[in-house]
Amino acid sequence: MSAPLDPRTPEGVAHIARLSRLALAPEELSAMAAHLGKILDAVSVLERLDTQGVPAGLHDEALSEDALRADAVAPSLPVDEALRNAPARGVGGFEVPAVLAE
Amino acid sequence: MSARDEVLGRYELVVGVEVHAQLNTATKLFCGCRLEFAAPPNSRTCPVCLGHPGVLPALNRAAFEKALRLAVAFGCRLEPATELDRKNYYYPDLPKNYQISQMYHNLGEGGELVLLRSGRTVRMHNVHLEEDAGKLSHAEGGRASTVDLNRAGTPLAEIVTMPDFRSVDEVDDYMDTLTELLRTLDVCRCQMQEGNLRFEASVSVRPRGQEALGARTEIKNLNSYSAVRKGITYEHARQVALLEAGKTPRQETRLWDDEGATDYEQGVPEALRVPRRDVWALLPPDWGDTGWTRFMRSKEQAHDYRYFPEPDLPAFEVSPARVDEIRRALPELPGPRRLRYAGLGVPQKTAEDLTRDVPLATYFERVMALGVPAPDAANYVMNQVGAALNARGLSAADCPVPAEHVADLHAMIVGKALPKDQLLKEVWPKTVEEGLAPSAVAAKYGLQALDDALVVAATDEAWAANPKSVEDLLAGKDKAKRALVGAVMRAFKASKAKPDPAAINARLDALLADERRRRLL
Amino acid sequence: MTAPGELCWTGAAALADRVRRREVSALAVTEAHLARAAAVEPQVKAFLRVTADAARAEAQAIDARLARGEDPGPLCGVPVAVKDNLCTRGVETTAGSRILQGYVPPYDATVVERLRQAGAVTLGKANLDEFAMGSSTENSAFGPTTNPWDPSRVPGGSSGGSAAAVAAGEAPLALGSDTGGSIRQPAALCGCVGFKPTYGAVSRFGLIAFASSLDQVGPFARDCADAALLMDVLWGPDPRDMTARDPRDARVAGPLADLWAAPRPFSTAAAGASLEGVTLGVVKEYLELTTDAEVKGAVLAALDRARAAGASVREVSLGLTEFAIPTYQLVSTAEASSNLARYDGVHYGHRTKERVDVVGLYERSRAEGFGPEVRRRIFLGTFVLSSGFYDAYYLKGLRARRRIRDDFLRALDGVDALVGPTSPFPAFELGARAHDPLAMYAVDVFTVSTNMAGLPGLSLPCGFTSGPRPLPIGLQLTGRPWSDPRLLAIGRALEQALAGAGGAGGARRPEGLP
Repeated sequence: MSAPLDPRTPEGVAHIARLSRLALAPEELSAMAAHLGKILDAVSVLERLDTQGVPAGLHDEALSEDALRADAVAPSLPVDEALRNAPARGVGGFEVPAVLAE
Repeated sequence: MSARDEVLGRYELVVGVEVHAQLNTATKLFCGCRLEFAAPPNSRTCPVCLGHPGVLPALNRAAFEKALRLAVAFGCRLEPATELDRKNYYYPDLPKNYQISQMYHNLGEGGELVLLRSGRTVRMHNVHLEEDAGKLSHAEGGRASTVDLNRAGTPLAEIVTMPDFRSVDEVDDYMDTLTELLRTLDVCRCQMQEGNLRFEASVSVRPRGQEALGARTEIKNLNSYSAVRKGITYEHARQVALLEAGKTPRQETRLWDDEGATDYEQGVPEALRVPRRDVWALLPPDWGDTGWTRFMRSKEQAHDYRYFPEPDLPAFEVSPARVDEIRRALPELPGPRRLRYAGLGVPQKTAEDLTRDVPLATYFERVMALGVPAPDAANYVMNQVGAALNARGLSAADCPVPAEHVADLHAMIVGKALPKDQLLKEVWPKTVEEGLAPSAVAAKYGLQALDDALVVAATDEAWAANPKSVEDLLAGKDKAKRALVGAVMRAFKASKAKPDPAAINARLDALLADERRRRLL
Repeated sequence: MTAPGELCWTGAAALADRVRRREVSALAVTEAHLARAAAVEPQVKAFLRVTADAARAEAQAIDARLARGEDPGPLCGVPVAVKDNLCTRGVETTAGSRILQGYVPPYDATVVERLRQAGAVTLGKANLDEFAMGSSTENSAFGPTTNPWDPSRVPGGSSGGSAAAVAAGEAPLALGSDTGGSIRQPAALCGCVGFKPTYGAVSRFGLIAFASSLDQVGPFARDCADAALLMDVLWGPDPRDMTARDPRDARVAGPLADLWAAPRPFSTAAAGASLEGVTLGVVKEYLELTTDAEVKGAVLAALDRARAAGASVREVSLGLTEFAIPTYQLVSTAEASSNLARYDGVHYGHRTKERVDVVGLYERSRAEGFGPEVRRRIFLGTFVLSSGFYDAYYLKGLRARRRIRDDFLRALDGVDALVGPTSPFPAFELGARAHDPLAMYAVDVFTVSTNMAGLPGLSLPCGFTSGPRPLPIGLQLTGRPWSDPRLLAIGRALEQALAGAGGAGGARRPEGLP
């Protein structure tokens, strides 16, 4: 994996743009870099908050196994309904420009 | 030793294996859509597995339980709770553009598996749960691909080993051992052609005696046992060829290409490739022209998956009490089972065949439980029962013949209720067809054993009536014996009871011995 | 016989009673609200779409059930506005984004299903900041909603459409969602009641996710009794949302489980509302940060009324307040960047018209479909989770979030609710903060922590600014986890105490509307 890039620079923003599959025009790159710079400056206040030894987990408790979904079949959508919102439909599915690798 | 063996022998192959095993649940991992192979495209989908806005995953209890059973069987370390994570990447077959998987709190860490053939122990790295992606298909030459999401959300157990394999044969041993284990635990159907098992191998080589591991290649797209063998074999040769040329393999991801023939090492810098003939020189002589690993991406091009805890799901409890319960309920695992069968006098090969087919082994156990000695039970199950199942394309789980009928057959053979030959060839097929016990079949068709005295008398009669055959027999022509047996059988043509050819043979042998003795005197 | 216009200022509970007793038909109630919407929408623009025909059909179905002697449920014939980030089967749902324009869900959100089962009539889909990201509803791809009290001002956000619809008399009830204040802040700015339940009290299934670990669905109403009526319909576990819990289970709600065991826990608690023996903790830092004298004055005056009604008030401190917004930025955007990955032009929603490869399809569709604020948050969130920064930002955010939660639980120890202004200032002018994202984020300074701590939060009107166009002022109450029915009951008692003082509560109607 490549070395982390500074998000305050257009290069760093271009890297994030690729990761998030969101194309930005060249002039948008520098505006975004400036914005991220401001946010990260504001966030740097957290350096003063001691979080040593604080657990980072999202959950405090765990759900027991009996609360899980029973393995029972529920009806699927009719194919037409499943594909109704598709911007492009090919034979048998959602259509995308040709993907050859993988 | 060939030049090839000599070169390869200077290096040690190091392999780790990742297996994606499809859990054999009725429904998907996070929704109630039915799992069904080869259903019409997108006919097994709902808003959840289509990744519609607003949907949430609801974890399948059976999938969780099966993955947990697997982790317990490996003896993994289990945390008191397990959590799911998101793996973020964009691909058209991944509707949410993230995969719900596990990274930070795997279901099971560590553990081990004893290989069935070699008896070696392989260390496991971890076992975790994740969802499968859909399928992307591309018509040759077309400008578009289509996505079928029937498979999206299928529950998978990902099983990752440590780099503990040193040869392709060991990996082969592992694949067999794992397949049997998955079947025994009833967690995966292991149908390769349906993609139930998918393999990835990480392969490196190092000069013999060197401690440090070489840079490893991840090989993807290993979708059959033979692809696994060939992929590792090829990568072994390629990396050794590089080292022999004074070059150093790098960490990268490659794709096994069974038919690869025209784009050898396309896009790979000169410093990282050797001429094709140098690799081929290290491949087995029967390798042929095609089949290689294709360069996919380097370590530098690796995805940044941005794993983070899945906020749509809570943590799931793995309570020690529940783990104990699962451990106690584990079926006997294939290794111990083979040993036990062999100890009961079942031939080695039969013991292996039985262990491989879990329902058949269960059936075998039932027959034994009815008092049939293990070697006999194994014999009936492999032959009589096996033939009946094969003819109908059934699994032993759906066997139309109850184990009690096999025990009845055995009792009739041992008690000589009818000639063994007649029992196997005439009574057994009717048992299978009509669903009646062998003794009931015998009663229905009025089959009964002949009084030995009648057989003896008839044989004596045939002996007297066929002097030519008797002379031939005395002269050592074995064909003559068959003629005499046939003559006795014909004598009972009108009778429902059939003589046991073995009894006729025994009487003939006695007569022959007598005759010989007489002539000698 | 009430004039049709008056039906629009009748509360939900009273409407349901009158429809149930067949004093007025559900259809007449619906027609009155549709007429009201037709009159005020050109100015307020609370709705992205009013589903008039469907609403009439639903109302007629309710009337038919009543004619057959059935009880359609507690919301019998009550019109409800639904925030457009809640999926409605067969009705376009956009989350205020161009990327979802034309998307028609094949399913109903659980809360929408529960509305229908309770006999409510869905009037239409309310405007919001795109993907609920914003505090003014100006981030909607389909234009802003205006504040019913002053059309030059914002209604707050992100549930600005829901708040404005209720404040303008277009609907007695509305559904909103709250990730960092998106129910409470617009309720404050529009002068209505908005309630954000304890995380897990209401199902999120069908709520288009912004930040999954913070999002909650909740009600808007013109008083706390009506909010309680709607909460009684909304709360409860849902097999389709594993983060929705059953508070009747003591393993979930501890000693508060009993509170939820009553048949209609919210209405029951609200009916017996009193401030006698209630201890309120006024948050020192929140008052200090409230520079608007009228807002501060209204909150202090409300506390005086609370004391007079039997409450005891003491000062408490939330020492980590300055860390709230930055922590929220890290955690919420990280989740958002992943939650919004699915909008890629392949399975539904906007797809670029350009001829590109599949990566280009993603990059162009998303660039064309997402507005500037959504893009900013996706970028920040992607960065926060990216290799090399995860520990320093995302994990730091999670740890800071825990410390903030612990700070709240400590402050709540010994008090029944924390009190302060919902927003540091009343409704601001359209455009005033739209070009300064950080200034917009600062609006949520008093509300975001409630979400990070998973607590219930309530905003209720406590007064008005002076001047020619008076603007509502909101007071926020924050309770312990799973104290929701009690918190709403405290709100009810407080609003009754304030009504005695005049000028507050839902009694006042916006002037200057048609």
